Amino acid sequence: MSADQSTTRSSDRLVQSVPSDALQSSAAKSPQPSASGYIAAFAVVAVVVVALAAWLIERERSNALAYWQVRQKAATDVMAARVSDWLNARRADAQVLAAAPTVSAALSGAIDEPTEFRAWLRGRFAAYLALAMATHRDRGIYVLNPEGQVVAQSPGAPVLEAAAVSMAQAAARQGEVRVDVYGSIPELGLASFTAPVRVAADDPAIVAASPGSAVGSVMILTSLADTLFPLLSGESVPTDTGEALLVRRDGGDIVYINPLRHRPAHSAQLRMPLEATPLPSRRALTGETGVREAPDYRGIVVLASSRLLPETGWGLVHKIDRDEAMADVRRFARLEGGVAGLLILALAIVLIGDWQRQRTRLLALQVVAAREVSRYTRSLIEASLDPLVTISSEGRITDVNSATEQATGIARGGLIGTDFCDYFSEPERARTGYRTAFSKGSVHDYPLTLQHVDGSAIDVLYNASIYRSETGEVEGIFAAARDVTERKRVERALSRAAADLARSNDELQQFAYVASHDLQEPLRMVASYVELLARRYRGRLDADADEFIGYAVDGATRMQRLINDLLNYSRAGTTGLASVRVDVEQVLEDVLCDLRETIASTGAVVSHDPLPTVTADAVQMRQVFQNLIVNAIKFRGVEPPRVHVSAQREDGGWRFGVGDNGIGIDPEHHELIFVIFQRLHARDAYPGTGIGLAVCKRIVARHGGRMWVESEPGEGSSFFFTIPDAGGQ
Amino acid sequence: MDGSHAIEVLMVEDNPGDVRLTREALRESKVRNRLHVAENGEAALDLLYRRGVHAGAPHPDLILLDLKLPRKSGLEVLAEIKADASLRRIPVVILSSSQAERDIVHSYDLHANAYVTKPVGLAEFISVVKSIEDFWLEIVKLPPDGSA
Repeated sequence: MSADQSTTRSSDRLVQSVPSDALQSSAAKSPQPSASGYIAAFAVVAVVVVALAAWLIERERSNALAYWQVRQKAATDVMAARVSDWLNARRADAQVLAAAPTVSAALSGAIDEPTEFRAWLRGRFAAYLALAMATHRDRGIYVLNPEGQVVAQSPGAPVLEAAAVSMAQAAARQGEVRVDVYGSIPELGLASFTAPVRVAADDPAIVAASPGSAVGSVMILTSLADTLFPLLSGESVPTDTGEALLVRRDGGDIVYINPLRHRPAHSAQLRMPLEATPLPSRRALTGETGVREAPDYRGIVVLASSRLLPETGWGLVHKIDRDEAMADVRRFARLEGGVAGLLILALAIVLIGDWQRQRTRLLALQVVAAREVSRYTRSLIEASLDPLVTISSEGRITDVNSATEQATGIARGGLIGTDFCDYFSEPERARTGYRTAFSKGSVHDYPLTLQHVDGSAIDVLYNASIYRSETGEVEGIFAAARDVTERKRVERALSRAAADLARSNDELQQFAYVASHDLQEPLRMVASYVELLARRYRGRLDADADEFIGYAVDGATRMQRLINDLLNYSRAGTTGLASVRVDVEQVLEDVLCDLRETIASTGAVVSHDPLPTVTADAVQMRQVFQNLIVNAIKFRGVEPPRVHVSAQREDGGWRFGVGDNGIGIDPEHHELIFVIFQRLHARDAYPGTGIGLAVCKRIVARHGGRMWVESEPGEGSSFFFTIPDAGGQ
Repeated sequence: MDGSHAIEVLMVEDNPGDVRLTREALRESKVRNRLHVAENGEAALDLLYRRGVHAGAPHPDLILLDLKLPRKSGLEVLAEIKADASLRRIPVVILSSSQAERDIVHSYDLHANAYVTKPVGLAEFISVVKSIEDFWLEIVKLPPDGSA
């Protein structure tokens, strides 16, 4: 029981080892699902995602741009309105002051008069100026005479600069309100609103002046930092880079009025050439409106809205760095790009995963298919009745099928790894065989004798050829043995039978020859002595004796002829063929010469086709033609015999014919006439032993041809025979 | 050949029928002759070499030799005769019933002087024997007897 189990286990092991065996078909190539489909799908989706993202970002950008355009424009409008309001208000203040009677009184000098009223008036005026200052936080209010002398000023007002004085004079001269700015740094910048002071017609205080003409001017000097700049710096929504710029033209340059957010220290020194600059400030000064992208004074691209303030000819610019304006768009773009990237990544992961799954599935399918092919191949190999083995280059058996196990009587495990040559009765011959297969690639029908462990042996023919690995290296030899024991036995039996037949044929020939030869001797004695008897005793015995002697002589003579013919027939089959080129025309001529007496006596006419030269035995050919022509004449009808000898080329030789107009032969006898000693007619009518055609047929057969007759009774006969002749004519 | 003494003819033949026929034929001959018969090859050679009882036998003038003989064949006898200087000049006529080309060629190869097939009919047989006799004993000039 335990032995059985171990056997089972070992055979299991062998079965498991099968896939690595050389007899197995090698594993299929690793499968590859079409990658191009995946790549195409990936590309399409990626392009769509990217395009969508780009479209979204672009839309966001244009939305942002539109938003900022609206916002900048609105901010500019608001700021422009504020500045205009402020300007107008202060101009009006200047005008109101200029129209005040107190001012004209001051100019006429009435205030300085030392009266009680004047003192009151002076007090009132001072209070007025102080109130105005307090209200507007102005630096000072001055009343100047046409000569530019300050005739009155608010308490605490600073001394006027020369430039301011000339402004006041200009205003008085021109008769209109002026607005001017000056100051070296924006923080200390001042604006002056100067209005001319006219003389009222009914003002008694003004004597010298003519009515309606300017008698002086009122100047309000106010700090820009305190008044204008707050108007510009206020942002409804705070930004990091947004600023409003108020600029004015100074000669060929652009001068910035308010402090610059990004260059606070250098605001006053900053002058930009007006001509051919893309600055938004230039656009503002030239009256262009709208929102544009352009580099600002720092060279940084900004979104700027511009506007001209018509009251003063100043330009107002409200701008923000494009980077800040577009920060949301960038954030959105980053987000969008990230999302798109993630989408594409996810897609790639999905596709690669699917491709892997397909690959795995294909691989699994192929493994199953390969296993099936392998199993199928193995089953075919095992089904083979021929012992099959594979041999390594060292001559070791690497695999066998069950037919080999049966042929050797050794189990598979006992065969694998052993020397292939050990299982043959001639190991060296086996070694030579497989070495030949290795060196030449194959051997065919290599005869060996396979030894069974029980001592029996089978004759085999080995067919072996090398097999290669996938890389083309020779791995070993696949050898198939064909059991030819039975075939060999049959062959031996066959050759024995053939030898027996040849010997028996030989013996028969010998027998026919010897028999006819040896028969001749006693026959000759019989014939001779019967004749001697006849010669010496004819008429000396009675009539019966004479008759008896006559029959005896006749019989002996006929027997003699039979034996002679038999000898001829036997010789036609035994003597060697002397094959030479034979001119059949010459042969026929010789035959007709020999038969000339017969031909003459019967009035026969013998004609013939042009006859060829063939390779044959000349003597035997002559015998054939002679026999046939003799027969044609012998079996004549009432008409004189007409004999025609024909010759026709046919495939592989010549067909000769001897036709006559004789008595003809019944078709039922067409075979019989070729049998030795067969006669169709009474001896008296047509003498002969009946051997001629048999001899002819035998000769033709020995030349490799065949002979037959075509005939009907009364219609004449045509005897045909073929002589193979590979050569031409 | 003078007619003073009889011509000695040695016939080597085991068939008494043929011997008798030959004797009959020679009896009708105009040449005086004496027919000696040896029934087999050995006896023929004994006679030719004058061995034993044949010590006083005369040298034959003509030998008629059959091929099919018991003990020693005609061809063997022929070969021995033609190999012997003292015998080789005696004309040897093969008188055989064999028509086989092999026998004919072989005989002439061994220097047979003539090859004649035994005819079937009596008349033919007699005429053949007569012809042989005529040719070899009358027509042909042979070397003088005993000169060998």
